[in-house]
Amino acid sequence: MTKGEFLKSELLKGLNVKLKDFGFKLNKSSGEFTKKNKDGWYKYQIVFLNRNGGWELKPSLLLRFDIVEDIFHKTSGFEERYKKGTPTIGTSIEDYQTDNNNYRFYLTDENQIDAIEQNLFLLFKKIALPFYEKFNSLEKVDKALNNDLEDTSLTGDIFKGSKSLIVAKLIGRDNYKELEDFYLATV
Amino acid sequence: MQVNINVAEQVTIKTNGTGTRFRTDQLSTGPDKNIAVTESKSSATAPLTRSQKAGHPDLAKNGGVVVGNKGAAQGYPAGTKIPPTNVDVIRPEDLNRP
Repeated sequence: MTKGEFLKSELLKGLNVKLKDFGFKLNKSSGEFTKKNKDGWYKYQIVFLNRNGGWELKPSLLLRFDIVEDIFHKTSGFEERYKKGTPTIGTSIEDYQTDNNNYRFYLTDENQIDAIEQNLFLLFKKIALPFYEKFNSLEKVDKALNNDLEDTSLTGDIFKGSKSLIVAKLIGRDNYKELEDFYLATV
Repeated sequence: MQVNINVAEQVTIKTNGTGTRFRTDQLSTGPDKNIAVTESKSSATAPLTRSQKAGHPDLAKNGGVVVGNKGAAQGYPAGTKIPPTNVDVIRPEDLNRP
């Protein structure tokens, strides 16, 4: 095991002990902590970016509604093996927060692990859990996606139209046709 | 000035033609709504990796697919299809051009 792999493994192991109590399970290879629910799943993802001699960590938030993704994949063209892994919405914490704080962590040495682990756990409790709560129904996701048609921060630009329209249809939005016209015109 | 949005870092792409996997510094969406693939090099002579040398022309010709989930939170989950796209290799001298 390289030093980088060791640092990554130890950090994830420590964080896993804390997140287990909240029902989140670690997938070590992807750096993702997943909690399944009746509608799909929540993921607290730690993106490990290679930097000279260590890692830059970027915590991110993902949330999936199976009903949305199952419809989406009827025409998505995604290979079968990728279909279960697509989120309905997602964002990095640094993009989600607008307070100019730095939500990245630099891990180059073993003695940094405890502090970074504490910070990632704090962000999980203060930002990730409220995020999952904020978007825990299709009605809430619909408001976030379809009240500001230009905002692609939760879906990315490519899937903004399709995901937003699927959600709008599922909840029976009154102005569905208007939304459809808008999204089709912006493709 | 319009800037690219939904910027993901260190995303791995598998090309459709030869199946070459290479990592790119940034995957983003441009003002024209097309996917942009960008590789930043630290000097005028810093070389591309072997897989980048093989993968860039194949991506330009045949397109590819995102593998791995590093771009999932920015809207590029594993499985996202990338149409034929030229990789933009940025070097320091490019930044001084008007």
